[in-house]
Amino acid sequence: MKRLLLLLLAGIVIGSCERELDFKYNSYSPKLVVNALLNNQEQLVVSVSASVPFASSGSPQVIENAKVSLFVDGVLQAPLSYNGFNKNYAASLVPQAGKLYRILVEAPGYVSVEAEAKLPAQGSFGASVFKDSVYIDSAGFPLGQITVRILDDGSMENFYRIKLFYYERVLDDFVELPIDSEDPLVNQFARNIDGGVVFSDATFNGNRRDVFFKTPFGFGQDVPKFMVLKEHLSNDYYQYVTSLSRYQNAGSTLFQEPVFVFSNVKNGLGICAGYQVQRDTIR
Amino acid sequence: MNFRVVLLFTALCCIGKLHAQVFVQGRLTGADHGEVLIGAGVVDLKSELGTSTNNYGLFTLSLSQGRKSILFSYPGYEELVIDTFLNTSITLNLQLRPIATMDQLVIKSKPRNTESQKVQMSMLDIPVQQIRKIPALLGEVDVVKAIQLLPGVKGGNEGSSGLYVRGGGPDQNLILLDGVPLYNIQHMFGFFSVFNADAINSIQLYKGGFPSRFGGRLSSILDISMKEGNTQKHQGEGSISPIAAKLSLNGPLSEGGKTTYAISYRRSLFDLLLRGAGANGNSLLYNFYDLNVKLCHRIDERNRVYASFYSGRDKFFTGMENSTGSGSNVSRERTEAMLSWGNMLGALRWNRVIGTRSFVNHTLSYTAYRYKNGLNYEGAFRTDTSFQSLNLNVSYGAGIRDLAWRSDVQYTASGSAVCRGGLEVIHHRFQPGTFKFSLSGTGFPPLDTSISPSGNYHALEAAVYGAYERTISRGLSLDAGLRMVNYLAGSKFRFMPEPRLSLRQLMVNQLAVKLSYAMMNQPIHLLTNSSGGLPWDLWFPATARIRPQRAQQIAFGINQPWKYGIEFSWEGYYKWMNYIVDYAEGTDLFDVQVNWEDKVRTGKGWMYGTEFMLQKRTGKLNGWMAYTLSWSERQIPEVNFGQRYFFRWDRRHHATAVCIYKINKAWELSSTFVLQSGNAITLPQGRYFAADGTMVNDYVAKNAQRMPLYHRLDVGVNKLINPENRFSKTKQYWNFSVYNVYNRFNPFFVDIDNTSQPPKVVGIAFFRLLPVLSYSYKF
Repeated sequence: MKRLLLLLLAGIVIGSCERELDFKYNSYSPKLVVNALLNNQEQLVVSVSASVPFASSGSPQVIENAKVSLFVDGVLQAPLSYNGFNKNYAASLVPQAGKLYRILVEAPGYVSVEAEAKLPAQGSFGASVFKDSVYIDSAGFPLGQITVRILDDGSMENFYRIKLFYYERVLDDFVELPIDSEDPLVNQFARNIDGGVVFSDATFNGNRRDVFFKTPFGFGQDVPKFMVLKEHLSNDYYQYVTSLSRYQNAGSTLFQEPVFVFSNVKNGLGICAGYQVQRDTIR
Repeated sequence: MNFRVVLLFTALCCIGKLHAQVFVQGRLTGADHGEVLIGAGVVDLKSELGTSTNNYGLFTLSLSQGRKSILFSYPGYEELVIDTFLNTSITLNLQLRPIATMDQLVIKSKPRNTESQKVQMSMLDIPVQQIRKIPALLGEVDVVKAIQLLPGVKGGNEGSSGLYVRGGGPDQNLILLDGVPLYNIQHMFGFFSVFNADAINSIQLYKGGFPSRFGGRLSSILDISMKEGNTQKHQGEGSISPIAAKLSLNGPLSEGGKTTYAISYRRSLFDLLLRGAGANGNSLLYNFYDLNVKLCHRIDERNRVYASFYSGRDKFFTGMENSTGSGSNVSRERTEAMLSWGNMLGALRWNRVIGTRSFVNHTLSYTAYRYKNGLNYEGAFRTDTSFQSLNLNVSYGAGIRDLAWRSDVQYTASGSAVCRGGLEVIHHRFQPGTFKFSLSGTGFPPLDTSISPSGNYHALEAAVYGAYERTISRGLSLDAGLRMVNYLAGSKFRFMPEPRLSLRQLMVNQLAVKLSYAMMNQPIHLLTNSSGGLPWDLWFPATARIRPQRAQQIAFGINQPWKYGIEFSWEGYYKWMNYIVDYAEGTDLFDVQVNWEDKVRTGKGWMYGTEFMLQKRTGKLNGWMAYTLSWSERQIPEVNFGQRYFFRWDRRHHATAVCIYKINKAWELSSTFVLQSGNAITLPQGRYFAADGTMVNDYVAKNAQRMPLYHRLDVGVNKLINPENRFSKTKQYWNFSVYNVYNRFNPFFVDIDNTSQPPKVVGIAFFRLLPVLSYSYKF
């Protein structure tokens, strides 16, 4: 009898029903997606693809027949050529700070899009320093410390990304070093994105700030020891990487608010933003 | 500043006419049960001056000397006219007799006691008797679901007991039970409210034009009064439905009904029915209960004291046990999860009538809301040579507690002027969440830790208010008020003045044109799960960083009473809000590592719309039809790229019809119909590759999509079993109701099924066609 009641109650109360909805999506026209991350050390490349309606079975495709025009400080440059191997459009120049880069993309069947970016000024960093045996781990082994000095420009809002690498003798190359720090800037005010830490100068605007990282026991015995990648990000790039990081970390539960990934591409999607790169090799 | 306000208030009080006025003062009760009649009309038929009874059934009417015919009326009760010659002030404590048959309820005379008589606008009161006849989900009468059928009020998900009034959020409703706030009104994961209809005497909902005695929330005041108890005889009522069983008792505790009691208890039945249903050590338990108790003691004709108490709680528990292995190698594991939440409130109140003009009310109250969930794991692993065990316990608790004092005074200065004033002091104690974790077992030291990322907060809220209601000319009345709120949280002090104004102009044929303005501040914020209906309510104070929310509302409307008790009303409103809170994008509500201030962003909101209602409270055929056309928008920096977006519960159209028809003494039919636009939701509309190759959803905008159109028809039949037996002291009723008669698929929520290609939008509906039989017994 109780099982019958159980079934009855389950049928009535928890008798939920799931079904596919004939959902009336707002009409959605595929958009051009432009991704161009400009920095002072690499040739300017632009990848162009197209979005697809969410409810379609197709996946986003690279657009190979787009016309990609580049303007530097308003002057039209030679058309960017499509590189079939890398699947992007490359220019024959390396971006420089202070110049305005405008990218116009046209492709048959899509609304033309445009975006512009400026590389931020070369960030003001001091030389990175390594010091051994600064910390002791739980097993009693000594740990080293890398100090990255930032000399922040107080006249503007600045954004930074720091990545650490250690020298791997067998590979004869630098390998990414996981971030480990007791620095409150790193632990409380920065986001760990793609192996690096990204943060704004909100907590030290206009001041010198030494950022401390731990290195594992036994590292730093070789020469060179470490490489520090110090990047000064534009505002758009900072918004993009942080929103993309939030998107990647967001779960897909009902209790999670959706994340909108930042875009500065007019009439389209994607990102066109610049950043300055500096490398320190600690020997 | 404060001195000037007091001076102005005093001067306004003295402006009233001072010539040859007498006062008719008293209390109105029902002859059938002795309960006070709240909102009953008291009108002098010659001068058409009138008033209505307050929450304690009290009225004061100021009239000139001479012969008077004073009419007392209340829906469901016979009208009473007192003809008297007034040369001095008198006290009239009267009882109205209930109408014996529904046929007599047809009012064919000139309409009186209508909303047109009141200066107050945007206020709705629905007789509890009417609510009890509306078809109910799973046979359980729910006050809040009935309120969702009113214009300007929307529910949340299908079947839920959420309240979204004029575009506001669920945290923006001040829900008062006997004058004391309740912080969470949900049972059974939001499908039912905590209000037991058997314990309730009256319900009033204010959507705008807020009286200055109310404050602390932006969008609505839901003022619910509990029954006081029959002064003449003991009464009881019991009922049973698939959801719960209820028992209510009330009556006099002393001779002459000087002291009365009313006690109601409701308890869910699931756990009793399912007891023992689990097998192999697995168990599932869910229950909730409500206990309402009210005591009233009449010290003398002028003094009464009340004690009100409410306690309610939901508890969900599930346990699973798993044993594997045999012989000497055995492992045994047990996992238990629990979730509980509930409210408790208590109030002591002293009512005092001073002379023939004044009424004073003092209230000391306490209210608490508590939420807790937990997970417990025990594992034991035994082999020939070893034994290992592991115990893990994780729990999370949050809540809020208020201790409050308030005093209210009403003074009838003259026939055309009434002054009201008072003060309120509330101490809030917020417990915004403590996470506890303990781990013990073989081979490692025990760990026991407690994390409270936000700590406990204390806040003090003090408010003084004054209001002046005056009839300026024969048809024009105003009610002007000012509420001054002082709020202290941490070291941050805030002063928030809140002006209020209501105007009413009577035109021909009792057509009333009304206008109101109100400013409200809300110094407490709610973080809640907006989608799933789980009681994940975290209340937080406004801080130096997160300011109190503020709303201002202008409303304009008309009331037109017609014959046969029919009344038409139309209102238009415009409301704008500042410092409202919403979640930051990507916020994980369950992330206890993040301080609540980092989870939210503040911004602005705009709500506007128009509401129509055609209502008939009495007669064989009664009910209402309502239609609302409304918009609710938000704009918050860092949300939706700073662009305006629709509030999640924005529904463009909302139409309802409620119909109750008494066929004869034994049979009664009822039905409700709801038709409304789908609410706003955020769903991906496109997909694309990000710069690092991640597949990213293109949402286009927050809340840019709409749920499917919602509509539903419910019908019910009430049958009185022994209608002809006049001498029987008991009455038995059967109720048969069908929820969602034509089996409409109204999704509770929608989700994306990413396992299919292309991804599908799927809906989950809990309540399809649901026929339910319930039984009640009165003695």
